[in-house]
Amino acid sequence: MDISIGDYAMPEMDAGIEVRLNQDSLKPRWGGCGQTADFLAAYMQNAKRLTDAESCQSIAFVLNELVENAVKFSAGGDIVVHVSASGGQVLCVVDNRIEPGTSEALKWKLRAIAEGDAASLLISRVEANAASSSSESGLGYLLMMSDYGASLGWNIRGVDGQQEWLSTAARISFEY
Amino acid sequence: MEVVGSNFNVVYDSSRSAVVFKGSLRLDANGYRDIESLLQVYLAEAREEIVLDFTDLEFLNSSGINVVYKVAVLLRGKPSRLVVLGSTRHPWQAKTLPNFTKFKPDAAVRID
Repeated sequence: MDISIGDYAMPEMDAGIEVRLNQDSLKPRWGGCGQTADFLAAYMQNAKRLTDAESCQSIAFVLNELVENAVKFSAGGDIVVHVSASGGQVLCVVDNRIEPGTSEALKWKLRAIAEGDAASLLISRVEANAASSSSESGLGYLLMMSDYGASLGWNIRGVDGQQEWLSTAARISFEY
Repeated sequence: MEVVGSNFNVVYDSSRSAVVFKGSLRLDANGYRDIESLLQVYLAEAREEIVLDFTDLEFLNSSGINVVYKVAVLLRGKPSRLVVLGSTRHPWQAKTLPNFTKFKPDAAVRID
């Protein structure tokens, strides 16, 4: 299986960095998600000479959501975070293993996000959350798209006939 | 009444009749339970005006955004006026706080 959903384009980028995180060590130390996001955002700010606070905070928000998601839902092992930039775009990609047997439901969920209107989905999701006792928000992807103009895409693939991996890509555009 | 963490605090300031958020909030979903409880206590007292002050909040993750947006949904159809205060010092606020009016169209969002 190798399925891409949404805007999973992988354009050639220049300045980049990749870090490998361990889910077992990050899950009990949740603050590490934010520290990772802030470090990578500061690195890209420096590499691309982004001088405005808004660009840096946008990258940090998107990365924080992607890393938190991966730490919450990974089926174990390493989580790999790649951040790169080219021209006026920053591309954030996070790879993590997913639980066997969950890919079918995940595909439907991601397709609904990719094909829907993020602003409308955000409203209906918050309304549903207000009527529910669940603490999971499900807002991360929708906020990235509606508030930060991020273009999102996903790739789900089998590896070695046993493991299944999810890559989530978020592309943000800036005026440098 | 307040909820305090290592790099944030959320205070119900009775002198201003406002809930004031400060620092950086990036808790996991379950970590917001105490803040939700504080907001529920605040909302349970009938008020003319509900004030959420984010002026000194540097960062809020999606789990936290969910918690504060729910306040607006819960106030729909009620006479209380919702006032949301923000600052241009924290760029996320100009992106995220205006959404309050999508959940409660008469909410007043002020970002100074």
